Amino acid sequence: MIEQICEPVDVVVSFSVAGKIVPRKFRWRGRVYDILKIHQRHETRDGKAVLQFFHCTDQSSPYRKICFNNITNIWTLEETETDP
Amino acid sequence: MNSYFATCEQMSNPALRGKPIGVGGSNLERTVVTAASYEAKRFGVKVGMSIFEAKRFCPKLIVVVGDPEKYVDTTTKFLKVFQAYSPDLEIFSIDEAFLDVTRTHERFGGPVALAKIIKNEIRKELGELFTISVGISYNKTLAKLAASKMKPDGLVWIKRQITEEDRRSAAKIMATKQALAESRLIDICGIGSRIERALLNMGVTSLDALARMTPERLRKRFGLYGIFLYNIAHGEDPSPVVPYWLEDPYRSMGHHYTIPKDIHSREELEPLLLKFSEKIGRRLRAHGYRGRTIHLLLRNSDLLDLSQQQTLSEDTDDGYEIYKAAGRILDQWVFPESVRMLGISCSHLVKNYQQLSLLNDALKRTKVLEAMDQVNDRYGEFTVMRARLLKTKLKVHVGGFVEDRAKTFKQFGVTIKK
Repeated sequence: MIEQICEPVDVVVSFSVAGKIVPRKFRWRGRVYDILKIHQRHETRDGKAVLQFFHCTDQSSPYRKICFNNITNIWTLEETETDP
Repeated sequence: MNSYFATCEQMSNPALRGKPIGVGGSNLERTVVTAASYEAKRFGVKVGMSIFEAKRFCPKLIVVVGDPEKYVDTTTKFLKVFQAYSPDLEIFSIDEAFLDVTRTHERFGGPVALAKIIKNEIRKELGELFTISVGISYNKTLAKLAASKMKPDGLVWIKRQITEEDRRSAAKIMATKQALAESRLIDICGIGSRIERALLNMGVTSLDALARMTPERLRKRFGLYGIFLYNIAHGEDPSPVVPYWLEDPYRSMGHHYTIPKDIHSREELEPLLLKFSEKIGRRLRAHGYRGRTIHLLLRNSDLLDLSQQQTLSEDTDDGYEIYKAAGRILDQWVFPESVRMLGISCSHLVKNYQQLSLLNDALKRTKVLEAMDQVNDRYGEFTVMRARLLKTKLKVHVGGFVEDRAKTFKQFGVTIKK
């Protein structure tokens, strides 16, 4: 079941040679989660801000949706898969 | 694209893969299935079914709230793949396009080889779950028919005549006559349920019967459209692929919205009407259009529609003028007992039209709208809005791209309805 979270998180990223942002791990509510795979990414605009969304899996959940806002430079955990 | 929205969701969330899923709007009690995964389709779940009905067919159906922004961004990516193989790309809908490869296919080994290259590129670019059904033919209507003949991951070519060499092709090759003989009237793009009913009333029950009608009789009944029907029954469609960069994109702009809970009074309806009118005005201004005809539709809980339109004396791009026109239409109606869905649109659009008004009020209003647009462009939609809209929030709406007839993705971007 998908749960809406919308909380800011700390994220460690790398930048690929193709110029893509690659989130590697994030810290949420005091716990660190390693991102194992990014399944999909998409972007949209909110005013001047470009929002980049990453749909990924970590060691605890098959699905997290995290978002980076390029104006505020803030990452948020948007959604997560919880047990049904 | 096959089961496009559902595949997008399964690509994002591995927990959904291999499972029956249905994609709907955010109001899950009232929404319909806008896309179903192949696992759900095997149970008989169809697009357009209510969630309640879909779950009767498939009790284990997982219902997922759609993410329109994700679908649009994904569409942008696959259109870029298509565009690499021919500049003559016509965008038909959020998950369909026509590509005229007459001038380019030989470079890639022919249309079948090119189709296979595109299929692989799509998977590489979007993800391994994405499949497309490709239809190849000598005109658009037959190419679309060909694509519908094999899903998912189909490759079908409809040709006038089949040669011996065609029997060894990697694609399924069909002669035009055979393809039409195996198709129903409603399988043809351009023959919807209304036209089908009219044809059935004339005793035309198949494409073969349609082909035996005279063009004069069809023209008498359907006007110029009758000539299209005659042509397509004979496998002909002279309409060219119109590249997106040549197309005049908008014939109308509008919104349909299923209200989370039925409303019973005009006072409850008006803030929604104003919000959608403002959205239309904003989009008109963003794309440099003005419109003249306002169309209002209300649907009640018995799914009966009230609709009417009003043509203004002057073109407008002001949401408040659109709202006032809708109000004048409402003045002529007895308000229904309950309203479940609202639709409002502006048509008869003209582009890049600047009218200088001598009236101070009109000039002031133009400046206010410009200022509001600048703020909303920078900080997000409805950052500045009319005070009356402060408490009016909308649920996420999935679908409507085809309703809106927004046939171009300007620079492969499209306005999202929120």
